[in-house]
Amino acid sequence: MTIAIQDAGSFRDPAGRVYLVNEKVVRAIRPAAADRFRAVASTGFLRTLVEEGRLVDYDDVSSEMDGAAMDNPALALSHPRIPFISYPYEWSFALLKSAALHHLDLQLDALRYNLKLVDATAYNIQFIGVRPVFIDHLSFDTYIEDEIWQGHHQFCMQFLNPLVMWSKVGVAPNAWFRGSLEGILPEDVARFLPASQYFSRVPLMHIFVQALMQRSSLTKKTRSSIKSRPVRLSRAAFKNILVDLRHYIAKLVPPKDKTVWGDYVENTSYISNEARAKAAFVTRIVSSTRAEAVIDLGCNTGEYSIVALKAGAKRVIGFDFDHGALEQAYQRASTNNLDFLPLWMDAANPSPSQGWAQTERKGLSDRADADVVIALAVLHHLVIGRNVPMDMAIRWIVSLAPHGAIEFPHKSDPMVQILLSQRPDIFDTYCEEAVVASLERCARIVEREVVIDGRRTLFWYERSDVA
Amino acid sequence: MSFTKGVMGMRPFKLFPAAGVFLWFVAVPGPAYAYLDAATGSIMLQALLGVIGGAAFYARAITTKVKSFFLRDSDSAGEAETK
Repeated sequence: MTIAIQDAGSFRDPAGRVYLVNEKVVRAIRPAAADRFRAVASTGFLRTLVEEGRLVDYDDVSSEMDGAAMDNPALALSHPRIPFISYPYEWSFALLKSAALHHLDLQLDALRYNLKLVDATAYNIQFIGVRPVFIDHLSFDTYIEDEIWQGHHQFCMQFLNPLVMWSKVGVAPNAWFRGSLEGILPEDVARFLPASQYFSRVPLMHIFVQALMQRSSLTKKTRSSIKSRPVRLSRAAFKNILVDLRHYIAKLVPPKDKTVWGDYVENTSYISNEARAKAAFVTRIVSSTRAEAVIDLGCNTGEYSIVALKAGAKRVIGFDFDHGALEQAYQRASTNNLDFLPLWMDAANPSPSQGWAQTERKGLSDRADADVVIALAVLHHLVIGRNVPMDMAIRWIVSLAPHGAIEFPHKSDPMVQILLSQRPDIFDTYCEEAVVASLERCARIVEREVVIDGRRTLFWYERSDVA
Repeated sequence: MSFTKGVMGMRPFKLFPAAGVFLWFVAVPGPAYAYLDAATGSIMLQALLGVIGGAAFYARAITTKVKSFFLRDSDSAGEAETK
């Protein structure tokens, strides 16, 4: 008998559900939605999108599947697996903007096939490297003339509003978005967007006026008038809205504030010999373990992520909490077409399991599926910067992948000195012996190398559960 | 598409119907019902944008007709001369 595990994030659309069947991703389409999907597929639009790399591939496997395991669907589609599922609250400015444009382009092109997207959820977009790809084949439906844009409100909440507050106010929306998984309300953004934005058409209409209308809709009179007359939106007007939003979003830029770590690679106290030693160390681990997937904790602008890719890794997921560094990392990945996805995350507070039943959006540990983790220049931030005890910090890093590189900057290191300069040194156990003891509790130390005149030590570990 | 050129750049007569709809929506006092669907504002906005888009389309259609009337006139005059 086939065992089909239902994906915890796929339940909102009654048209179908996604299952994991023998490690394969299968979408089960319910009988009620089968004709709708057939009509969409018959236009050839989905196939065109797959060929252009804008939609994840699909294969009709209805005849081969054991339907009973998936509640007897009418159709079953198999999909290639997305290497790492990321969420909009983990995206950098460039990633969120790219996802927004991807969505609008899909909707604009769909109209030419008399199709539409029934929603505008950002969670339907995933990244392979930094290339956006749409993942929900059941979001497409036949367009009916003069119907309104069903996804407009969702588009504003999950794409437009976060991007506008980021670009025009200079506040990154990630922490807010992470707490408010449906996105950010126009009514909320309208309260703190600068008045200058009244003179810009898209914020004026889609944020200020929409917020005003939403507030006025709370009156009884307006409610009944909305009910009594169906709102119509002509195809031309719909297209105008989409084109208008597209032009506006394409021009948005991230705030120009100086980044904390963006110029770290240039400013750091290393001389290039030391950087070379670190790169050689990373290369040795990745090539000798034949790692396919690498996690780069504190990836900064992606310098060592690229080293890992050059050493043979197929893909790297990078994490950093500095948005300036992430923008540069995105540029690197995008310009050189690398399978490197730099995401926003604070290692001391990784993305949690949350949403409906606390399983809808998975936490980092449930998604981390890497062969090697690189944690260079991270440990002192966790232990000294955030008071995480050494053994707990090491155990967490080791939990992410069976092999890894951990860098330990000694107290004499200028970077550690900066962290300690404004606070009492309460970190008696911040020493190399503690690192060794903590590592030996959960791993085997494969290699140890002292770099930068004895100010930093690199450890290569192999987790104990891997024989 | 003239809507993409901008509401702000529109002449008053084009904005007039939109402003009417806008006022009708906005100037209605009453008790608050916080449980109302969060997307109602979006639907009302789309009604407004639809009217603006429609008005702009109508105005453009008239302009095009007037323009083409005169252009055709001068074109045919030009043709007559070359013949």
